[in-house]
Amino acid sequence: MPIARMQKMSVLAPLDAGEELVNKLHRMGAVHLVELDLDGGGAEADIGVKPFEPETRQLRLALARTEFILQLFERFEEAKTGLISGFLQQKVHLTLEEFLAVEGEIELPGLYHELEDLDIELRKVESDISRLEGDLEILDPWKELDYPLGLAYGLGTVDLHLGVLPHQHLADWEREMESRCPLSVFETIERRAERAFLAAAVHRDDAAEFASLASEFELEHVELGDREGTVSEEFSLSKEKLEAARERRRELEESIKARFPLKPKLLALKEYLENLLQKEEVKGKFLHTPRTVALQGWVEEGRREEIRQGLEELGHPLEVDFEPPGESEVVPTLLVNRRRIKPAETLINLFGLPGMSETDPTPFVAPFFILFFGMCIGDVGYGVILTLAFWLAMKKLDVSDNARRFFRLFMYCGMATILVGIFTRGYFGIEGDSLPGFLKFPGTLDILNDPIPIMLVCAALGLIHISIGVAIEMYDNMRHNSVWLGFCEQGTTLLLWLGIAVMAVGAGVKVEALRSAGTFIALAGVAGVIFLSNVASRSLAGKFFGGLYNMYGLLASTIGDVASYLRLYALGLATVAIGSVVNRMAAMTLGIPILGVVFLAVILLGGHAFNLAINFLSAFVHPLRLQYVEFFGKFYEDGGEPFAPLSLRTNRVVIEDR
Amino acid sequence: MVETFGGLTGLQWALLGAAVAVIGGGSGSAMGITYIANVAGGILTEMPDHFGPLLPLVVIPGTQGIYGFITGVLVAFVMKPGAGWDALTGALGFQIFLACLPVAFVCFSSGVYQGLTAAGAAGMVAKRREEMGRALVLPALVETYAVLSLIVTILMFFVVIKPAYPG
Repeated sequence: MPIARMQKMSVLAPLDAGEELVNKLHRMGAVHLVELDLDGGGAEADIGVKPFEPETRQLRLALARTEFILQLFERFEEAKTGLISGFLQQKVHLTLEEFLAVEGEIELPGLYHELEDLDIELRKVESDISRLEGDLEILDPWKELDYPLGLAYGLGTVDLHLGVLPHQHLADWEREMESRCPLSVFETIERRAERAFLAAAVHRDDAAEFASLASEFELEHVELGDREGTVSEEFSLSKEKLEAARERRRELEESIKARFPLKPKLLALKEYLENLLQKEEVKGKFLHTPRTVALQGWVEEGRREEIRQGLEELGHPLEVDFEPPGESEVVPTLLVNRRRIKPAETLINLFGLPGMSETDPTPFVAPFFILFFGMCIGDVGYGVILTLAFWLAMKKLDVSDNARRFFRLFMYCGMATILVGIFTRGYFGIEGDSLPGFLKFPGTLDILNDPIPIMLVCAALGLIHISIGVAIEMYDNMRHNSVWLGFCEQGTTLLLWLGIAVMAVGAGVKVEALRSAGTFIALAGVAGVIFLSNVASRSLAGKFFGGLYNMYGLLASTIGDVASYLRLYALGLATVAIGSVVNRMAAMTLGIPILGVVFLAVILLGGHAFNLAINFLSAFVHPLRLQYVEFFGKFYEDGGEPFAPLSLRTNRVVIEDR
Repeated sequence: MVETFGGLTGLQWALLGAAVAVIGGGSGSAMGITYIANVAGGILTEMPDHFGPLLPLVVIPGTQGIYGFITGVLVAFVMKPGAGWDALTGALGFQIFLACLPVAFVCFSSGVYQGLTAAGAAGMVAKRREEMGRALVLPALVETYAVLSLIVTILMFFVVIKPAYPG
């Protein structure tokens, strides 16, 4: 029973038991709570039925503070650069008791204020640093100007002008200054990067002429601001300030880093608070009167008694009722599969969960996905690498259960790759001629030189795969409507395909009887599709012409669908072809003395790693497409709402004794 | 004297076919990946944590280049006559050239358009990361035709041309 059957649970309890009730439900983690609506009837208003208003302000504040601190830590953490470690998040391992006590272990407001103050000062210091660095950059070219700036800007009849001029205009500038501003002088303080830095003492009488000269030469004016000392004094002063600010920044960063050991606790606190928030928010779905509280939710049919007992343990007078779902109710979907197939549920989740009345496709998706993946790579060597890598990842890496399920799925895919590789003679892309004879036992195929058998295998697998899809739809149709309708609408298609398959096998093994039997079955199928497949239509003409149209559609889609499975061959060939090119390239380097072995190793390792990586992606995407488009297209309707019970939810915290 | 066809020897036709396939597939992939990589780059500046789900989308249009490459490899390694390239007549070489055309054209156009489709799907992933599964399937629909072209090219090689081989 892959989709769990659900029942609706209604609970009526004394109002003062509400808090305990929520805590108990949270611990049990078995009830998907739904919102109870006020239907606006007079009776409800009379007895004072009201929805709860969750009190979340304080929790959100505490959560925001925790997140602020964690983000602050992240800013100063050294980023992990390893290929794998970069992807992995730090996990915190705690017992349930430790997790529930984490709030008492951190004095959050104090820590927050301390770090907030540090952060504010740090930002101020950082802005000082960038201002001082800017100052130094401006002052640097003027260090040779040995006149106190406070005096220079305060003269009575002479103004000090500083400016920058392109180097090549300097001679012209000098000539013009002499002739047009005779009462003024200027000096070149510094030349760097094709630019001349000029200081000019301009007499008031020359001011107008100097201004027009400056604009003709596009002199870049420089203001050194209200400084008192000489430029070099000011420069050293700013430099000292900069050093002090940098030192202060380092101290502040150290103070923040000194708090890093609290990070695991803060991560736990964040998730603890999120759970509290979840519990508080869920109350918004309840209704209450002055004395009682009412709640409703979906539970798995098989867990009814366990839940009833759990709630009764609370010792409050409770009314717990269960009822089957009504016709129009949206029931959440929970997939229940055995451990070996469970990893493939991830693939279903990627597409969207099935509705409650659908059949769970996981048991069919799992074996075909794994087999198709294996065919797309089809190499014993790569298969061994994948199997070992994902087995190790599953055992050694500290990742979530979800990620571990994914690793398990890919480990199975790796095993399938080995199996397919044995049949397609794939061993790191080594060509058939170089393989030892015992690996080429009868039944194995040379896909590089003889593509037809493997293409037929792909087409046959495709036909089987889509037949299962249509069979599932027939089963659903028979369950929900009638056996007859199921036979007419889907059974006839299956009959046609069966006939074609028998015919093909008959032709393959050259048994005339089998071939003619197949022909008859296929003809029966054709007749069935034309006359029966549109049986739901009201008019006779509708039945016939609808059936004829269905026949046309069926032929076109069958050819398209089955051809689509040939991609498995093409992708398998891609692995072999690239692998063999890598080997040939590597072999060419053997002629090079001494270094040849090094090149050989580099090309082999790099080339095969590239081949595996690129084909791994294809081997994931293309089987997924075959599932989603060809297979699901036959029967699947998504739109199921996931079963999400009120429960202890953690992400980076791993509760050891759950 | 090597027999020619239309002025080219068998080897020249075969090399032309291989080259056209590799050029078509490779250019299609390069253009397709450029489209999607531009979009992905834009998304990543805002959401650096989306690298994981975006990477598969970026590399999908790369397969066309690989199909072109496979065709080239097949011509160079598998279509070589047992008696050496000189045994390949001009007419057979021309057939190899024709067989390369499906991959050359279809992989070019499907690579470009798959990149455009993937760029649309990337927007989907940016807004709703959990839609990654569906987002991957949409560009994979375009690739069907590249796969079909490769299959036809291979069928022409092995079913039509190879049986007529000398030696």
